[in-house]
Amino acid sequence: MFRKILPFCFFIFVGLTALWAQQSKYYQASTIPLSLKKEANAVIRFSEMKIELESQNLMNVKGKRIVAVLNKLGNNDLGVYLYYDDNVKIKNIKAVIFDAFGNEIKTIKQKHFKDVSAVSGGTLYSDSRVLYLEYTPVSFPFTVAYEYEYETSNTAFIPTWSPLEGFRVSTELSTIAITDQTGLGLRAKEKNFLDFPGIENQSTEETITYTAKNLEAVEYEEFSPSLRSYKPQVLFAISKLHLEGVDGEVHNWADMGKWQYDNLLVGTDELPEDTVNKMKVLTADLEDPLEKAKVVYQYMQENTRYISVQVGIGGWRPIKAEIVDEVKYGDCKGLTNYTRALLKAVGVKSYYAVVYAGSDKRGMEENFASMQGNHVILNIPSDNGDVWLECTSQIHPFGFLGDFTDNRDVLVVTAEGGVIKRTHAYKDDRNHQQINAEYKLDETGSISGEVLIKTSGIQYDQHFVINDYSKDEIEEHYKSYWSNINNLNIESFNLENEKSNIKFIEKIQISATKYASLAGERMIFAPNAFNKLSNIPNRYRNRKMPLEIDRGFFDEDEFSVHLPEGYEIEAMAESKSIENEFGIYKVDLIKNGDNSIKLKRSLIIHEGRYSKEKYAAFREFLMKINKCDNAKIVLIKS
Amino acid sequence: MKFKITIVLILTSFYFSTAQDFDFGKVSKEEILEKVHPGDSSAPAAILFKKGRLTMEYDNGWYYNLEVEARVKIYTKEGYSYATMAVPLYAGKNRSNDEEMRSLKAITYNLENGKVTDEKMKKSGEFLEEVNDYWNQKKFTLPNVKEGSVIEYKYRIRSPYIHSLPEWKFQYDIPVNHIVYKTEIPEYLGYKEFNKGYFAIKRNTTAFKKTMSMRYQYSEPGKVTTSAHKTQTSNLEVLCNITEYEGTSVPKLKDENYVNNIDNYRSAVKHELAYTKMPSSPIEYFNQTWEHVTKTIYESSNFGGQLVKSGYFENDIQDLVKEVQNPMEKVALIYNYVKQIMNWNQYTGVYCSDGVKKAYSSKTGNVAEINLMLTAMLRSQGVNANPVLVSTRNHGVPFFPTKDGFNYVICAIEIDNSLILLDGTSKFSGPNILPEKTLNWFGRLVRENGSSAEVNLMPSSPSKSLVNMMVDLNEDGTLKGKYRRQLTKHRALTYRQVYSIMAEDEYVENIENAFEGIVVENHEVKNMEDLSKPIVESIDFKKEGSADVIGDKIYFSPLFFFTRKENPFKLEKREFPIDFSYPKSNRYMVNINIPEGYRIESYPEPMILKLPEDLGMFKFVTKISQNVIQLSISTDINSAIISSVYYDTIKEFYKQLVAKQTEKIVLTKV
Repeated sequence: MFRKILPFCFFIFVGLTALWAQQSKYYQASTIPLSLKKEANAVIRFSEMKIELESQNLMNVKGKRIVAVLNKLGNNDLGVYLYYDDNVKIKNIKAVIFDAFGNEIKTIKQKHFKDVSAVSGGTLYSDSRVLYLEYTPVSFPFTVAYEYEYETSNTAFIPTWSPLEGFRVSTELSTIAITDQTGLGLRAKEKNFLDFPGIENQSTEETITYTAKNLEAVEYEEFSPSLRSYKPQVLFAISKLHLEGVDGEVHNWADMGKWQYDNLLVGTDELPEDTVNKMKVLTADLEDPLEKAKVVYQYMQENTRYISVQVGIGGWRPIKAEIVDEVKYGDCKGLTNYTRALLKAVGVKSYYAVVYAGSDKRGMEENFASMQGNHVILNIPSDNGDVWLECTSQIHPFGFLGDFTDNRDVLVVTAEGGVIKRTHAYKDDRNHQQINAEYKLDETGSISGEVLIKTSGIQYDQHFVINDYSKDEIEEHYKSYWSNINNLNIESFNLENEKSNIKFIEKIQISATKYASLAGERMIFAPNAFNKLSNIPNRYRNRKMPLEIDRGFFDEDEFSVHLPEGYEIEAMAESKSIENEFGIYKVDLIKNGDNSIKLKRSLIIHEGRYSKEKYAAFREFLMKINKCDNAKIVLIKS
Repeated sequence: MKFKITIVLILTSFYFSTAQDFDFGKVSKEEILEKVHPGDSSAPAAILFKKGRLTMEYDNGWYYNLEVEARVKIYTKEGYSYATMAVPLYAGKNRSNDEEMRSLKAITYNLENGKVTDEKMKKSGEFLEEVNDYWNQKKFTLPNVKEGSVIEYKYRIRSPYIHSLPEWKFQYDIPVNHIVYKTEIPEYLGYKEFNKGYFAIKRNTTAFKKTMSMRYQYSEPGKVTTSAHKTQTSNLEVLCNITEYEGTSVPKLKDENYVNNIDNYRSAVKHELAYTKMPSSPIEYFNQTWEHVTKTIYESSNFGGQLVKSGYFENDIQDLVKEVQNPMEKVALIYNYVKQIMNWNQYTGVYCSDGVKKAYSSKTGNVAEINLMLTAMLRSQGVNANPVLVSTRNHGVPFFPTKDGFNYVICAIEIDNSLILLDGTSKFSGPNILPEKTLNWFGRLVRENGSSAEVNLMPSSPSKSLVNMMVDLNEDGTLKGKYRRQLTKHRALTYRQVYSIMAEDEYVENIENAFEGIVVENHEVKNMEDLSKPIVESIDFKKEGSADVIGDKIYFSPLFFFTRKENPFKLEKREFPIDFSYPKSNRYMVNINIPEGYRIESYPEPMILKLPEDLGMFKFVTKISQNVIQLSISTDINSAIISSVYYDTIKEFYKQLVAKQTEKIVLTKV
C-alpha cells in the first residue's frame, strides 16, 4: 500500500475571530433542526476550511468545525484528529467542549491531545503520527468546537471537500474556500452533485468557495453503492505542485505520469549483474515475452515477501530494485518496480501502474490529474491486450487481479507520460462455480460422500486463498462454509490450484451425523446440502440508497443422493425456475431409480445498478431462492 | 562516561546438560531441507531452539539483562510473519527510554546450489516506533526469507525495572522443539517464581560463587562541589542462584470455544522480586504473598490515599441519604448516584490517575477513581464497604501474587453476613451483577486495616431467560404470533448494553436478523432502565417458511427460530476448563395452534438429560391436544466453570439436545 493517504477532508477552518461569536448558536444542541437529527448519531453543525496556497511548496490549512454528538455511537464522528509528519507544521490545535445547553465544560490544548504513532495494520513502520482528542462524554448531547491550523510543503495533496462525512452523520453548514495566491493553476472537480441540488458554488476569480447546507444523515444499507460514489465532493489540485522536496508541473494525466516517471522511477530499476544473468538463464529457452514474464513473475513470488515501510519520499518512491533484490522484501511499490526491473533484464517491457485498491472499484478521476491511488500494480502490454500483475502476492496466478483491483481506471506510468487504462472486468458468467457432489444417506440420518468444487473468476478469488491455510484452518473453513450441516466432519481434502488456467479445484470427503431429522417413521432432509443461498439481506422499511450488485456470478450444481435401504420417497419438492432482471434460478429434482435422487441447480446473478425501488423485489428473489434451496425431501419406511 | 560491568562466570554453559548443540550461527543443511514439522505437519513455522539467559548487573542501581537467542524455521508463506519481530519496550516516565534493546543480530539461512548461505540483517531492517507516551516498540524484519528458510536472531534487553522480570514463554502458537531459560540471581536479590500452563517444563537449581563488579556513587560528606558524587567500583565475590528451565517438543497452544483467556493455559514462568539484601543494609521485603501485594497497593497514595478523602462529596451524599435510615436503602441510593453521575473513561487499572476529587468534579474517571469513590461514599455512611482487586478476563487469571496481577477494582459491601459486589463504572450492572469482563475466578478484598481476603467473583445463581411463545401455524408454513422474553441478571445486563445504544429501527432490524428474518409487527421492551426488574421483551411477529409443507404434510421443529441447531463443542478432546461465565437457565413455553384441517401425526418423545453432579439438565416435555401443541423445554447449566474432565459428557449432552430440538413434528391433512 501507499503511505498515509490522509483523511484531509475532515479538517476545517475559520479565520476571523468575529465569526467565532456568531457561531455560538451552534453550541446549543437545542438549535439542531429536527430533520438533521433523524437517523443521525452526530451533526456537523458548522464546518469551515480555508486553504491558502502560498507558493508551490507552501500550503496553509485552517479549519474550524463544531460537531454535536447525539449519542454514544456519534463519538466516533468527532473528527478531532490531525495526522502529521516532518513536512507538516502544526501551528494551532485546540478543542472546546460544551454541554447540551452550550455551557463550556472543558478546553483541550495541544499538549493534552494524545500523540501516537500512526502505523496502521499491515505496515511495519511509518513516520506518520496522529494527534487526537480523547474525551469521555459525561452526557448526551454535547458539542465540540475544534479549530486548528497547519502548514505543509506537500502541495500535491490538497484536502477534498466532502460535506457529507459518513453514515449517520448529518451536516448543517459546511464550506470550503481555497485560494491560489501565486497562480499555481488551481483546478476543481465536482462529483455527485446531482442528488444534492442545494450545494452552492460561490467562487470568485481569486477564491473557489463551496457551501452545503442541511444535508440529512444517510444510513448504511446492504447492496448499496459505496458512500464515496454517492456523496457530494469537490476535488482540488494545482498544476505546479510539490512533494517531499520535488517540484512538478502537471496539467493532465500524461504530465502526471511523466512527472512520476522522471522523479519517482528513474534510476530505480538497476539490478546486479548476477540477478540479470539469473533471469536470462531462467528464460533462455523462451521466445514469447509473456512466457518469459510468467517465469519472472513466479521467481519474484517465490523469492520475495510483502513488508511495508513508509518514510519520507519513500512513501511515494519505490525502494531501488537492487535493494529489494538484496533483502527480498518490499511494499507494493518496491515489489512492482522490482518485477519491472527483472522483466527489463529479459527484454520484456512493463509499466508501473497506480491504482485505488479495494473491492469498491474506485478509479482514477477522469480528466482530473492529481496524486491519486493507494496501491501499485504492473502492466504488461501484449498483442492480446493488457496483462496485469499483482506483485505483493506470493500466491496469485499470473495475470489475475481479483476484486482488489479489477475493472477500474489506473494510471500507467511510462517514460513518455501517463496513460489511463482500465483493468479487466470479471463479468457475471466468468465468476463461475461448479459443485458436484455424491453422497449417501443412511438410516440414522447421517450422510457421507464427496464434494468437488471448481471455481474461476472472482469466485476463484474467494476460494483459492485457503490453499495456503494450515490443515486445521482449512477444516474450520469448511465447517463455517457449510454451517448448514450440523456435526460436519471433514474426512479428507485435496486442493489443486491450477494457476495456468486460473481454476481452483477442491475435492472434499465429508460426513455428518444426523443430517436428516427423524420424525417417527419418516426422515426429512434437504437434498441441497452444499450450495444454499442463505444470507438474506436486511429488510428496510424505507430504502434510501440505490441497489447495487457489484459483481455477478454463475453457479452450477449437481448433487446425487443415495437413499437408505428400506425407505421410499413420500414427498419431494417440484422443479422450479425463476427468471427476472436480477438473474435466473433453476432447480430440478430427478428420481434416479428407487434409491437415488439427482438435484440440478443453477443460478446466475447479474452485476448492475438499479433504483432503490427495486431493492424489495431483489430481496424477494433471494428469499424465493432460499426457500427452494431449503426444500426438503420426505422419506418413509417402506 | 559509562562504565561497563563485566560479570565473570566461573561456569558457563555446563548447565545445559540436556541441551542439544545449539550454537548460534551453526545452521545445518538438514534444518533448511526439512519440508514439514515432524510433530505438526500443519505448522507454518516452528521454533527450533530458543534460549534465554537473565543476569543482574549493578550500576548505581540494579538492572537486569535478558539475552535472547532463537532459531526459527519457516515452512510456508503463512509462516513469513514469524520473520518479523516486535518487542515492546517500556518508555518509562517522561520518556527516559531506559529500557533498551542492544546487540541485535539477525541472520537468514537458505540453501543455494546445495550450500548453506547466510545473509545478515542490516540497519535498514530495524525500526524503533514510539507507540505512545508509555511504550516503544522495537521491530525488525529479516532479509531474504523464503519457504524453507531458517532464521536466527539474538538481542539483549537491559532494563532497570527489576521488580517484575519479564514472563518467559515456553509455548507459542507454533510448535517449539527445544526451549531453555536460565536465571542467575545474585544473593542480594530474592525472587519468587511462578509457573503456569499445562505443558510440563523441567526445572533445575544450583548455586555457585562468582566475581561481580558493582559500581556505585557516594557523596563525600561535608564537601560541596559541582561533582559532589564520586563513583567507586568494587569487585565482590557473590553467591549466585541459578535456575534452569527446559521444554522439549512443546506443542502449539490453540484457542477453543468457551475458553476464558487462552493465555491462562500457556506454559510460562515469571519472577517477582521478594526481597533485597544489600551488603550492610537491612533486608527489605516486597510482595511475597497476596497479603503483601494488597498491602503495597493499599498503601499507595493513588489507592488507599484516595479512599480516605471524603470532603469532596460529603455534602452531596449527606443530602442524598438524609431521608433514609435503612443501610440497604442508603447503599442503593449511593450506588445509583455514582452510576448516574460518573462516566468511565475506558481506562482500567487499580490506581487513580487524576484522583477521586478531580474525577468527581469532571464526572469522569478510570475504574479505580469511580469504585474507590463509591467505596469511600459508602463508608462515610457507616456501611462496611471495601475495595476488591480484580484481574479482568483479558488480563488473565492472576496465578501468583504480583502487583501487575490486578488491573481492575470493584467495591464489596458486607451486610448481614453476606457479601455484595458493586461496580460503578457500568451503567447497567447491579449488585452482584458485574460486567462479564470481571468474572474471572477470584478477587482480593482489602480491608481498612490493610488485611485482605479472597473473594469468589463467579456468580453462583443462574441468569435466566424465559420465553413464552403463542403461535398460529398456517397451512402455507407461515407462523404468526407473539413471544414474551424475560431476561434476568447477566442476560439482562448484556441485553441492556447492546440495545441501549441502538436506535429503535436498528433494534428492530437486529431482532429480525437475530431470529432468522422474522418480521416484527409490534414490539415493546420493559424495564430497560429499571435494573431491579428483569428485561421483558414482547414481540408480535410473522415469519414465512417456518415449516416445510410437502404434499399433504407439514414438518417443523417446535422451537422454530429459537432452535439450537449446532453443537458448540466440536473438538475431539479438550484440556481446558469449560467457562460459561455464569450459570444459565433457559426455558421455553410454547403453544402452537396447528392449521385447521390438519391432525398431529407424530411428535418428539419427551426427554430428560442430566449432567453428573447436578452440573446441568435438559428437559423436553410435550403436551398434545386436538389441535394445540404445548411444549416446555428447558436447559440449565448450574456452574459457571466446568472441569475438562466432563468435556465428553458435555459434548454428548449438547449433541442430544441439538438432536432433540431439531426433531420434527409432522402434521397431516385430514
